[in-house]
Amino acid sequence: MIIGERKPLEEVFDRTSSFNKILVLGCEACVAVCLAGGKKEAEETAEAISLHRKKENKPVEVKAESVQRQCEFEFIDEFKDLLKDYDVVLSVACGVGVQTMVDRYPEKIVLPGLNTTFLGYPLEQGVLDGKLSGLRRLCPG
Amino acid sequence: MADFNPSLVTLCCENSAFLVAEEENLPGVTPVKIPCGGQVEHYHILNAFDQGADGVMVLACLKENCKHFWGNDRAEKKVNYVKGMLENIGINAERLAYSPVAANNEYKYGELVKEMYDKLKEMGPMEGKVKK
Repeated sequence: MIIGERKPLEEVFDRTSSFNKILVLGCEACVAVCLAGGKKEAEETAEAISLHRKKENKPVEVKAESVQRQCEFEFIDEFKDLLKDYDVVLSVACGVGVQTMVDRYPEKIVLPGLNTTFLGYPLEQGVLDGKLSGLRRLCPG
Repeated sequence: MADFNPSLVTLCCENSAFLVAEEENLPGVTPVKIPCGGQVEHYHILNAFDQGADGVMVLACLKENCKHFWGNDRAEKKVNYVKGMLENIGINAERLAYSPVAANNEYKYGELVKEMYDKLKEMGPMEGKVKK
């Protein structure tokens, strides 16, 4: 399983500041389990962006959606039509999900909204054994 | 800020605070029924602010009195997390509060809400809110 944590909000606000139509796209696989990038987290990131932009008097259209697995073409293809309506996708999936989006939709701007920090298998709830932790350095997030 | 009337949303657990909130009909206060304090999500609170609330209160059961065991503890943790988010967004975290209220304690509900309402009145409208 892949573990991640949302990028600091300041960084998220800064990266999305020049866009007016933002789609926050979560993933219901690993990062939803570690409460970092599922539907709920995508919603809260979207709300945070919206509130911040209201405060700055720069209104924004922001929508939160979540895909069952952002690391597979079959699943992200469902969002093909929706993507057309937005200037940018803020992906709160792991690095693999972000790269899959970029490969599938090279014409779209896809920003990572999550730092991929670790991978391992669960020993018990909330405890993961990082047998492959050497791969951490390869994670694009 | 004497002429400012804040809008306060109280997210009330249906097993405790909402039973009191139903009875009290305070102006400027919108009670919202939730199935348990633990069911409050971060985005529910942020959404209330986004929809125009000047302040939000999460009111759940007393300590160790939750029908679902840890709902009230979870609600408190979530409120503290969202307070951190609000600070990052640039909104005064004092606009959000958590309090436990018993189902038969109308007096305490009234007191807490009035205290928060007065505090919001002093703070003024939400940062960035369009003044009508």
